[in-house]
Amino acid sequence: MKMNSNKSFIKILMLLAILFALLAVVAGSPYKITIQPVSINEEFEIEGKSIKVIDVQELAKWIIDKRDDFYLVDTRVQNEFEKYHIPFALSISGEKLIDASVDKKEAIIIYDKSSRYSIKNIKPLINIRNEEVYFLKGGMDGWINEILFPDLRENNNLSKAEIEKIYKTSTYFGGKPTLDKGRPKRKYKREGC
Amino acid sequence: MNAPFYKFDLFSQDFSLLIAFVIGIGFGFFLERGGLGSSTKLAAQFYFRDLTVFKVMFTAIITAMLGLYWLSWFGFLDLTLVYVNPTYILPQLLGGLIFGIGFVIGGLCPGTCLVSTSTGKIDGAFTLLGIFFGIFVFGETVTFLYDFLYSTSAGQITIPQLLNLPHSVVLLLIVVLAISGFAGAEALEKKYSAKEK
Repeated sequence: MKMNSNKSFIKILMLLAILFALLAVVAGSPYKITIQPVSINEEFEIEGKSIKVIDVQELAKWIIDKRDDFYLVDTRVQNEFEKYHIPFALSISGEKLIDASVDKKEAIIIYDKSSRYSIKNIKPLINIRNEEVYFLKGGMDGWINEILFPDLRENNNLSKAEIEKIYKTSTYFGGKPTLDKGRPKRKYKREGC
Repeated sequence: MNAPFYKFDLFSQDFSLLIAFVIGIGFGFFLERGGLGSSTKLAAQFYFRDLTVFKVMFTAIITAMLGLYWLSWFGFLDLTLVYVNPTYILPQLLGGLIFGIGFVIGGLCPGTCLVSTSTGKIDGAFTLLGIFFGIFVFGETVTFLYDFLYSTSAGQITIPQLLNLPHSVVLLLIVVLAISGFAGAEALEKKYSAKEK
């Protein structure tokens, strides 16, 4: 008797799993609250405002050139921002920028951990500010992997001058490219099990 | 309220370790109650006599998968903040093979060997010693292995990205695969248990 009731309970669970999976097909992407730029030529529209995409090399150049006509906004949570952020970035948690009376500049560059952006997070900022808005392609992960600790071991196509430029940019921001064989010299910890 | 709670500063890293400890106790308790602290039960899987492990694993996968999908869909969870372990194809294939050999020989995996040891089983304790010996050997030789460990990197890739299919379609495929797997497992268990008798 107990065996039979167990079996029918398992059958109900299986049917529920199929039902939720079928509903998921109708519901679509689970990333309802995020947006993911893929290429730098891609343009988005959020709340009727056009968003452009900038790559990490271009941002590094803007910072090295000491341009002061843009805001750089870190949308990660406060504790991650405090651990490390791109130089001159403001934390969105501080909400200093979500105020129309703060000086207007040419552009706002927004970055998150990776290439995905939480629309919920950035909506207030986009609605209030009038600057041109850019997403940073690759986000903080892109900054770490391409600017701070680029892995140049497999890049046989790069000229000496290009490697020197990458090296200079990396060391300018306190990083170091991996040139020789061995473990990539990254300082951030691995997560997960 | 948004999840993951730790990433949204709802509690500190120290407190997250405490939560991990409590979840770990619960995990161990249910493994033991499910009979997975017994190496003979686990080894029976490789003879198709008892596929409980397979069923438990797939049940956990589809429960977590559906849970994450719907929590994210309703906006309670930011999936972008859930860590995706990077894929290194060859090193992980070799690691999986070594793990599998250890599993077949010992009849226990790292989680179940802890459960087995805590209930006083000698084979569990020896498997645990073997794990620590393996960790020690790996730690002492890792400097020679870096080139291999970081080779054939595929990045932080997910199945929908790999197959270039929508997230929800992959979810349905895995649920169908799991349920067909359960039916197949039942059939195999019947066939091989009957043979034994």
